[in-house]
Amino acid sequence: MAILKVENLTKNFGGVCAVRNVQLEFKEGELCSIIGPNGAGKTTFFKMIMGLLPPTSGNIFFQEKNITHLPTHKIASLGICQTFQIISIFPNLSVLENIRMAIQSRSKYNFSFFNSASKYLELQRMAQEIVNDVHLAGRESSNAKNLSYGEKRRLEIGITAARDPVLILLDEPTAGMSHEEILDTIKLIQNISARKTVIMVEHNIDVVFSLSSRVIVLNRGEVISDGSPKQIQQDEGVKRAYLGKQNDT
Amino acid sequence: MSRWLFKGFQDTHIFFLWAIFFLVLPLFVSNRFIITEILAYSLFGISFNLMLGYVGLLSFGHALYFGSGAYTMALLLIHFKVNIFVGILAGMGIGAIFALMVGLLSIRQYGVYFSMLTLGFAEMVYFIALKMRDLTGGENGLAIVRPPLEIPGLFSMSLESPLRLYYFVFIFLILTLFIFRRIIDSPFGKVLDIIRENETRARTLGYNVEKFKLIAFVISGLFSGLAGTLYCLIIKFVHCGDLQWLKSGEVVIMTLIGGTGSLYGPIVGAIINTFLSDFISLLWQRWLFVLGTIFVIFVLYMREGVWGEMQRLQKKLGRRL
Repeated sequence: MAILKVENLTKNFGGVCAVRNVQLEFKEGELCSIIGPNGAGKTTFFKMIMGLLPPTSGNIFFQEKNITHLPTHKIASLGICQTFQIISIFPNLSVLENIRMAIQSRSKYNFSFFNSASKYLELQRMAQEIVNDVHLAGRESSNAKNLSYGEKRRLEIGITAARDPVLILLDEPTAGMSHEEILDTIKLIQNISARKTVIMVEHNIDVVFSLSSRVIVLNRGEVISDGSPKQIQQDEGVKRAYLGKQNDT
Repeated sequence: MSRWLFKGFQDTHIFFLWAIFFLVLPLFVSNRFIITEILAYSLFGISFNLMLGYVGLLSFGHALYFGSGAYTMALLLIHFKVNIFVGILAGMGIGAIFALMVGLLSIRQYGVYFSMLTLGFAEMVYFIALKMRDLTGGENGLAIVRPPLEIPGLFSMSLESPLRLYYFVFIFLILTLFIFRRIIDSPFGKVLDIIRENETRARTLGYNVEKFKLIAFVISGLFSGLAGTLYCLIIKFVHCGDLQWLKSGEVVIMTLIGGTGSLYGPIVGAIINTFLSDFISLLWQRWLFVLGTIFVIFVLYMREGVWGEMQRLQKKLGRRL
């Protein structure tokens, strides 16, 4: 069964067409990467799924429910969670609180007005587990803004994992990382993606090929190729998109 | 001892220090009227700061909730001679209802648009009140007789003694501080934190941002209404000026001078504001000039307000010890 299905999805910004007539289906449990040159419409595609940008036309179905015009928080509570290309955390909260707030959002305590948040030990314990999972143990009480770049990225993934979503959207999870950090992140993604569906936008081809079972190539808002990593490597259209026209012989 | 003073200082200690400060204040200040006024303004500032400091939205129409609370109290006393607690509860309710109505229409807006909308609605009500002279007394206002503190069948106590009135209002301020501390520290309060910090991320985590903002706005209106009813009891008078934008501006200035970053900032602001308006105005007619200058200096150089600067100093000293 397709967990996520997009039909004729189009987004225009004035005269510029960022995403054009995209038709895609994602199967449950697959780890799929979306690649493409800058400006190919990858981030726009994610924003439309998450309800952060309204599509110009087309429909999005999640678990066969039309989510095209739902507000972001409803889409999130159906079980989709995203990490952002530009790190998006809560800078003045501690690491533990960052994670705890992601867990609290799916608990029944959001409208508790009168007890100290730190007294909800169950949430606290779950948050601590995730902090350990993303290798941030020992930094629980630091303000998130004081973390290093790589740590912030891991926190971001931790926040997403803490939501325990059905579908994870990762927007360039390894952008700006060193080689070691990338290896760590790959392991991390493998861990959290077990039994979940992951769609990942990524520029680092090594990461894409080592993780994904399926690769989709976007160029100028259109899907130009869709298949296994091997098929993609041999695809003439992809080479053209990345390397320009001189390969056209 | 000094180590404890600067390092072991926690929010609970600060709360009790404020409570003790206000408890003994009447021993040192002979003008009980002014310090009672400070209590009411502190309460107003604290309620207002829930929006500015914790949600991060500047409401420029908080006089509406304050003034409507005050008017509710006055009108109920004049026409129905109600019990003092009934007046207070009704004033809070009316404040909350106005906040709910304005909130539903404006909470989706950001920044200056939110400020302008809240200002617009407050001014609308102000002009209506100004025109309904028969009911509101217009610019001349309404004078009331302060009712006794009474639980029918149990006991009755006059509030005409300034000291008694002071402690009556004091209890409400401490209760409000206590409630707000709990709210800010609760899971609900933490959601307000993350909305202020990163609204988009809060949304993608499944939080219905508008709903949380609206609830905070209604709580703010509820306690602004309380401040209004108490203020009306203190000065035994209410007029349309209590609904006007000048009152809204006063609470904004007061809170910014005191500091928006904590619960106690607005109290400092209320003390400074009341002191300036009541003492310097005797010395110099153009005292607003002094207030304006102070305000400009704070916005330019001390964004955190007096309380924020004090906390920074405390931390600095704490590190040295």
